[in-house]
Amino acid sequence: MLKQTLFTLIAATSLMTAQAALAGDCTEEPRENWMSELDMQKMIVNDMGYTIYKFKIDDTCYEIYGKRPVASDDGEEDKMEKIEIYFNPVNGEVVKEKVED
Amino acid sequence: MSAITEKVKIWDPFVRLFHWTVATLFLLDFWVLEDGDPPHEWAGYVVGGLVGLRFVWGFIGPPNARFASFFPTPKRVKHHLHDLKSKQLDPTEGHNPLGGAMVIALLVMLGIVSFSGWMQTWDRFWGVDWVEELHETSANITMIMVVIHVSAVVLMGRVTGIPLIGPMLTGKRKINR
Repeated sequence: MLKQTLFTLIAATSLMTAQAALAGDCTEEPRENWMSELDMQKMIVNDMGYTIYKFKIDDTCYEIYGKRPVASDDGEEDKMEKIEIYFNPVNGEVVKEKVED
Repeated sequence: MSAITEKVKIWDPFVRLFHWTVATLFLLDFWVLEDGDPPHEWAGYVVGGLVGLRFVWGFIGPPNARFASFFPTPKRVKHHLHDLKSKQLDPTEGHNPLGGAMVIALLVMLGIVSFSGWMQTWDRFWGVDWVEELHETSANITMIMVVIHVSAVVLMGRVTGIPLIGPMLTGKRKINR
């Protein structure tokens, strides 16, 4: 009785651990076809106007933690909001975006 | 042998509400509610708040809710193991010392999980790896503890013959006097 219980316990707990936040798939293409990290960051900063706190590769996505200006209601001083964004690393498209308020 | 049965109060309403709410929200946050999305965060904040309240209740609540009544000192643990061996258990008690140890450990872990989750939303820790890893690791450890906790409750219920789950739902346990 104890042996079975222990075995079940070990089996159950080994299934229990959380996966890292699954970025899911941002692309199926191999690394050679991806934009360089530098080009991706240039796009984020220059084209999109965001600041980057951290840039990383998460599974098949480029991911950033950063900030961007809040869409301001007119003349108010620039407030920034925190963002977490997953990009398609091949073409730089936003795959998923989370805003922290 | 006595034919008198009595319903003894074991768990007060707040302890019971706390237990089932926290269990549900933790499991939802672990398995269902997506990391970083508002429902995940709000469930986490409710857990954190309830853990804080439970901590206070552990000093001012009714006897079975108080840490003083179930804190696992070496003497108490020894006494409890002896009781188990000789099958002389008190069916009116709340947490035995080993159960008490699990409860305290779970409260600490839940506090760490919810606090580290909150920290992840702060400017100064935005995107910072160690905070994210602390949150994930403490959540995993808590989940493993939950599996042990549930198994222990089922096992101990069988071994001692003392109803455990019912009283955590209704607050009362039927005792034969």
